[in-house]
Amino acid sequence: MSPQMKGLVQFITDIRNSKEQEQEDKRIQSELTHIQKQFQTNQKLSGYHRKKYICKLLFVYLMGHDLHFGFQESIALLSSSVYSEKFIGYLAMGLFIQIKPELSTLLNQSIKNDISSSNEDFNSLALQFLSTISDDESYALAFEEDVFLLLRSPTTSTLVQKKAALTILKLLKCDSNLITRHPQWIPRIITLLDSEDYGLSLSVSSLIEEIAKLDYEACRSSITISINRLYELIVKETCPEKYCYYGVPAPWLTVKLFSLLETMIPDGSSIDIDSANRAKIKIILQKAISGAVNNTKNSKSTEAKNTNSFIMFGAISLAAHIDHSPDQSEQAAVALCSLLDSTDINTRYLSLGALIKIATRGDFSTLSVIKARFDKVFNLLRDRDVSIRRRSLDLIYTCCDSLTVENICSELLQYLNIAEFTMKSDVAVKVAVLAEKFATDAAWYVTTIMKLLSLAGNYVEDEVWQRLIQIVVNNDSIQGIACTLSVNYLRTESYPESLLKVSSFLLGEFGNQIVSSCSAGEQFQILNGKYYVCSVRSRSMLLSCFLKFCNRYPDLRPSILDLFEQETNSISSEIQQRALEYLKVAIREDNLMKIVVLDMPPFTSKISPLISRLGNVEEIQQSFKLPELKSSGSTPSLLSANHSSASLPFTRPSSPVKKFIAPPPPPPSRHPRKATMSSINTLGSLTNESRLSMTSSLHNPFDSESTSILSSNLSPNWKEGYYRMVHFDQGIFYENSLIKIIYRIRRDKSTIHFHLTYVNKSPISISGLTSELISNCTDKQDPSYLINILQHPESNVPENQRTIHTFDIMVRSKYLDSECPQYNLSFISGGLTTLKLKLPAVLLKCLNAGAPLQKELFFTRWDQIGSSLGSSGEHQVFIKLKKLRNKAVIARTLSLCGLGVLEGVDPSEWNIVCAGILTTLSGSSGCLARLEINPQDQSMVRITMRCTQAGLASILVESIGDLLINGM
Amino acid sequence: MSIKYLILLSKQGKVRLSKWYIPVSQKEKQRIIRELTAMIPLRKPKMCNVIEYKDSKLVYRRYASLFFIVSINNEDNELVTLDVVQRYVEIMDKAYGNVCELDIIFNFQVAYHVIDELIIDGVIQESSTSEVLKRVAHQDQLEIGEDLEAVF
Repeated sequence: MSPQMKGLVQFITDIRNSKEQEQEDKRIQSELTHIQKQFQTNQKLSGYHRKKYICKLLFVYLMGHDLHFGFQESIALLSSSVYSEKFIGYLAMGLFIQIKPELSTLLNQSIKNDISSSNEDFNSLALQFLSTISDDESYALAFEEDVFLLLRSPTTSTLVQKKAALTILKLLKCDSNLITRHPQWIPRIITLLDSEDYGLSLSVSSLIEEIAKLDYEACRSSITISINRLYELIVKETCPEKYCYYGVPAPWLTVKLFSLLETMIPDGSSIDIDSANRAKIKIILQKAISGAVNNTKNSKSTEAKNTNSFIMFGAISLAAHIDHSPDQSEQAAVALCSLLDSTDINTRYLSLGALIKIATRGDFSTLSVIKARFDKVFNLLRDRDVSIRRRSLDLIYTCCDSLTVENICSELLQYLNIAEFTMKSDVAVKVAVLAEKFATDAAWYVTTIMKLLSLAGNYVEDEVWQRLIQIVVNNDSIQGIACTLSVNYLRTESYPESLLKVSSFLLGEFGNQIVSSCSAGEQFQILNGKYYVCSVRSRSMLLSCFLKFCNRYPDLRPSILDLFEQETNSISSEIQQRALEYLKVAIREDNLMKIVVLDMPPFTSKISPLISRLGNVEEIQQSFKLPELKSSGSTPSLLSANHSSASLPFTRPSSPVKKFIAPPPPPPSRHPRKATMSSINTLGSLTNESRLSMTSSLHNPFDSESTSILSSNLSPNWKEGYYRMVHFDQGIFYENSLIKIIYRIRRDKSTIHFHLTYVNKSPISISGLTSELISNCTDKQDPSYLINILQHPESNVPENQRTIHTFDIMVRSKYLDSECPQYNLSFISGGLTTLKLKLPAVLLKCLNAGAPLQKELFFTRWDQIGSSLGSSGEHQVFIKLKKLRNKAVIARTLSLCGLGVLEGVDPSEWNIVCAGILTTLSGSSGCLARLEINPQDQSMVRITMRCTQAGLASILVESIGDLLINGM
Repeated sequence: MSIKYLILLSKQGKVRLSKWYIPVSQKEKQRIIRELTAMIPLRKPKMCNVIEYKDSKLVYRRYASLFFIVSINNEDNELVTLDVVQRYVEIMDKAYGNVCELDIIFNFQVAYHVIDELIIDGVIQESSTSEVLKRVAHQDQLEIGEDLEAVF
């Protein structure tokens, strides 16, 4: 223990020894006066005394008293270079949090000094304090750079890094533009998720979760890291001893990562996860759920039980989020139901909550699992704890359907008898809604609701009986039954008032339907008997009912008029008014009464007013049906920020800036095709880049812009590996002093298999290695190709070791080379390295030579394409090779591209003719090509292609031309 | 998961520690504390540790004479929160050496220091007991060092 301040201890003891409030107040007041005087008069107050006084003030403040002085001294303390004084200074300021504007400059300066100090204790205090006080964007603007510097610097200890990560989180909550201002921070932050320090990883995962809500795309690489980490924790169960909590490996980190994944997969579909990760996550979730169930049952300590349960709840929530398959939710439901009879009260409570969530999905097999165990749930209605009773009611409500409604309603009606007062109304509303929603038999419905009214009529909202009336009015078949039931219930000794109201309306409207069993006179007698023992509102309704009787049954007229007459003297103005009016209407000679008491027209409102009374069940359902709304954050500022990022097609905030510096697109020419031809006719004097952008402008005037954004995004030396990969099916994709990437491509019809091997060349081990493939398809709705990751690389690669990364590109239809995916790789080897390369998954990779064509057949097909497709089937370019190549080398390149070189077809020795078949998922196309080398200048080549699919020739010709110029 | 506030309430309804991670006026704080005092200590021991309160959830646990009350959002995981409380108590127990209510009263700054090392802005930053204790011990060292300097 640290040494104590004697004065403070004495002060606290005095206060605790005070016998009366008055004595205590007096002691506090005298102390406050003393301290104030010291602060004002004593110029040479020592640090120790200042600290002691502030501590006393703090104690007073914590007791709930307001403080109006001491801020200046607190700031003086936190600016001190003595640690304990600084600590108390920050503690005091953090608790007061009433920063006066005139002091804020001084305060901010102190914080800045401490953050940039080389003393990590000072860093820690300042960060903790900053995360407490920040409440608007001014803090973010003032401190974000300094805090991030601490987070990224390799010399910062993980202790400070943790705090820095969470402080950035706080600043981000204050000002969501922080990420827009510094998009380059995101990759750095994500690599920290993989830190060996579990505390840092834990803090960073909270931060990434928040960033992902704002810029989901930029955080994608965190999915793989999270999954790998979870795999380590849950499946391999590796975790340092000090992060195990009652034998469970890093439970907090586990649930954090679960919830991060839930955020990263925002629309509730698992489409966004590639198959390698999906397989892994499936294993993780299965292990987590089944393991937790077993451990919960077997473990002895409450803590271990708790921990296992919360991991399971996290896993179930994630499983329900990403996998809608019935198996998954069924498994979850079984697991949860088994916890319903747990002896731990919290487990029961939370299992019910989780069951409600998965039940709202309405999946049939899940519901049957729950319904099969309904007796357990009904038992929980009688649990000791009201929270559990409420939740089991909600669960019953959620699981109800037309098959179970009768059983459920009768159970609930039974339960109404014993339910406590506060829950009765809730039960009643739910019975009413369920009965209406799922009733298959109208008579059953009426019986149920009437029974409900008779049991709980005093607790139900008016909407319940009003709704009953609406339904009875609209259904002729049940009006008689309803009236009979009314009479029966009114004959019993006790009946709730709402039942009387319903009955007075029903008998008034439809009483004539039951006169055979209960005469009008009897009906009147029953109702009239209740007249003096009910409220004003019921009496008003009875009067209306009697007016209807008066119209319908002339023999009752005298007694009813008597009653009206008598009630004109009622002390209630409402009754008096009604009686007077009804009396006048009844004794008039004309037909007014008949018009007034016309039959009730059917109600038109389809929506039950009860729905609004359902309370939180409906909320749960809503929030669960629309997970994207839920994930969009709980604070309004977040929501708006989300909107702004969603409205930008490029969520990556760097793009607007990059777009700005990207070269403007070439002016659109009126005849793009001709323009290309003529520019090439000047014999290739154009540089490669402009030629490329010209050709892409041929297909889509905007495309060249996106191409240049892409290439300006790429690492400077991307080209070498790109063309090597276009040319050869195996080789080295990229190499620098730290890493070497070896590739192998296997063609399988419309699928291109990529097999990448990463070799760590650096003298130290590589960590946080993440790869990312971003599709550049222009049509996002109907992409031309799909990327399917089969295996992710390991995130840690020791020196001289390697790791494998495999994925498939499935080609669905044709696309331009510029649409090839972007490949990003980042890793930490000393510092952070980020590579941005273009992956040449070009269409050429789907070409196969096919069977060699005979000369005649080649020309027949050549002509066929020409006549059926015209110019859209053909494309031609002139190119100028950078280096002279002989014909054999070019022919070999063409065959490497997948074309079959045909010998003896073309009479000229300078020409190469070849053919191939291009396979995509949408079909195959035949491709014929002719290369003509200019005998005078052998660097000049003309390529002509004809393909059976319109528009395909131009893509392939450009690809081949590009390769011949740049790749050889 | 994000904690909104943490309050240590004695059986008699006295606040022993309060930490607010959401902006709340002093008046509002007093009101919340009053309502909690009227609600939590009255709950029976066999009741579950979660209650819905306004638009959030309260997770609480009683340790001897103190109630540890934590407010979280509705979608947050209650049991994790309960374990955070448990961890907090465990660490304090080691930091103070068999902690009791009086320790927290007389040495409230230690209790605040522990919670600051465990949680920042309502988000858990460190789950390891030994890591947090290392920090507390480190701080004690610093203060003892200062005292020695003052003597000489």
